[in-house]
Amino acid sequence: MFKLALKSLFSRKKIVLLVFISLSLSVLLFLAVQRSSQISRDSFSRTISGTDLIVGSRTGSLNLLLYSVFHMGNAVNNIGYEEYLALAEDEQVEWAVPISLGDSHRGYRVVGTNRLYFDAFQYGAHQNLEVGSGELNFESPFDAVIGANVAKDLGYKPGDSVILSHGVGKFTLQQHDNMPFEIQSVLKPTGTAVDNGVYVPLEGITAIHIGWETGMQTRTVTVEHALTRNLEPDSITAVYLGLKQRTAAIRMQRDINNSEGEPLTAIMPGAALYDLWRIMGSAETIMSGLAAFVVLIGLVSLLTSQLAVLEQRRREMALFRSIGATPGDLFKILFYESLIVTAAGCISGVILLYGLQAAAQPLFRANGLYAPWTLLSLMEWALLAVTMIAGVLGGLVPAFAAYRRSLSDGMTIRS
Amino acid sequence: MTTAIEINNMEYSWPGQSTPLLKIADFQVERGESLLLQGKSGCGKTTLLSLLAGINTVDRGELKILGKEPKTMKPVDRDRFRGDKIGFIFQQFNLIPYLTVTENITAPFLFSKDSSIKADHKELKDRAAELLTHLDLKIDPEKRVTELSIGQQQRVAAARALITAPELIIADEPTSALDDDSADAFLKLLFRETEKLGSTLVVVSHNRALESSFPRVVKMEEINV
Repeated sequence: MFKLALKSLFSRKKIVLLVFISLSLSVLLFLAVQRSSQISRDSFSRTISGTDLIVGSRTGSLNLLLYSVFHMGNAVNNIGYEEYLALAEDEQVEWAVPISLGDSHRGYRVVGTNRLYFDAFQYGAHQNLEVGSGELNFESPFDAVIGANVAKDLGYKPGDSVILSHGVGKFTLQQHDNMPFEIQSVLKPTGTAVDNGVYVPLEGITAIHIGWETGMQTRTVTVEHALTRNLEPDSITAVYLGLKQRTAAIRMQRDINNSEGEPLTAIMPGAALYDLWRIMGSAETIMSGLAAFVVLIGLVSLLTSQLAVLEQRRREMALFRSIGATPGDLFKILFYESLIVTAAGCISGVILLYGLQAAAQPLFRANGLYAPWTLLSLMEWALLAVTMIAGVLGGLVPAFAAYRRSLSDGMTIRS
Repeated sequence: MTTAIEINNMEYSWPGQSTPLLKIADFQVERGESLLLQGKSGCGKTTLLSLLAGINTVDRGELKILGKEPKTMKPVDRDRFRGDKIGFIFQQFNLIPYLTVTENITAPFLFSKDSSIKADHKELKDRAAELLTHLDLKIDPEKRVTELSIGQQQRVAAARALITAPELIIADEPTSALDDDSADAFLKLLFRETEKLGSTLVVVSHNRALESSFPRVVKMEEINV
């Protein structure tokens, strides 16, 4: 009888195909909303760990988190370099890493920092950065260390030289082509925003901006000339802090936020992420709700198509009755039909999900998101189960209609 | 040996009807008999058929098919009994459009309780092919039935009615969609095959031209009072 249901569906290819497509797409949407939020949560959570505070100029905590860690958006203001020096000297601070943003290389963000960054920065479950190839030289102002994606996408290896661009973006940027940097090493992949970074010493950032004091290039200086200058920066974008005692973070955050000097903002990455989830969470709920409705619409279209052809199938049902089919048999045939279409929609939705993930992989990478090839999560199985249950319940409607009708029709159609 | 059909003081009315549509005092069909049941449309032919098929059951009196009384059986058993023991041929659109010739002919086994035959696809196929030869049908058994002519379709329908070797074959206006020559040929085949099986044949029709072919002709007006 299962085969019979299949053949019957095949005889209505066009309509069934359309319903199948709408179901597949709606299941895809349902799953994709779930998976993309999972991917962004996982990636954001794993990007930074072991950093107790991030200090930047006065701004919203989310904004500071996004630009300083995820390289999303731009800093409104910088903070004085002396602020960094003061923080580094603070007796509660174990380590302080300066971060200077604002330049780029072919779409990848340039991060000015110091040697300590590579030892202190941690991601995931307190994992340290590791060097994949080359030597971790970071002493000369024109040394550069690049993330794994940058090396892979642009085909760079240690020894190559790179020219940084003023500002961020992909096109029509002015080049700092008077001072090339030499790649010293490539970091191992981390699956975080680190992979998309080009890391150079703060002194290098200062050097390439000699002659740019007005924000525009007014004169060109040579490398030799630059090296004779004091390359200590005036300002930086943010500071990552590791504290001797993590419990001191809250008090220190308050102290920094209330300090009388330069207006600063300190955030605890974990707490800021929590804020982010809260905001994203409600958006996700809305999205999931909408996706669920789309699935419902898909199922209703299945129901509609089944009920619509039921009238045309009365003759068929009557024939089945004449050769010994019980009303229950007809119920089963109709029920199997709905079940087959729903199951096929679910399966193809899952296949499309992985296809979409493959297609979106470059986008994830470019944004420093980590989208591993995982099997269906428990949540995704649950969504599929909900869809199947709804499909089964929906399938009962035309099945029951066929049952009822065959009781009154019998072998002949009574109108 | 019991009778094929036995009706005594039977009454039936559709729900909501006050006077019975059918009221048959005494009507019998012996086993192996070929009978033409004649009547105008609206005289209760169709209703009688659904009673014989066990789709509906009588309100009063007795109706026995092949020695059994459908009224005393469970609905599911009535359906299976019909599938196994009675073969039906209708006027037109007798076939499931999305199945092949073979699939249509063997369709009764989809619902049959007799699972031994059901499982043996080879056996089913052979039986279907054999019937096609008997019915002078030279068509591809894997063809979709929608590609056949009306005459061919009626023969496929006959094959389907015969494949279970039913004890009773009921044909409702089986020839009215056919031209005279084909109708004649079709009836001859039907007689031949039912005779081979030793089955009882009841043909229901309003067509008086068929009368001459049947040893016994019964008019609905005569039995329905």
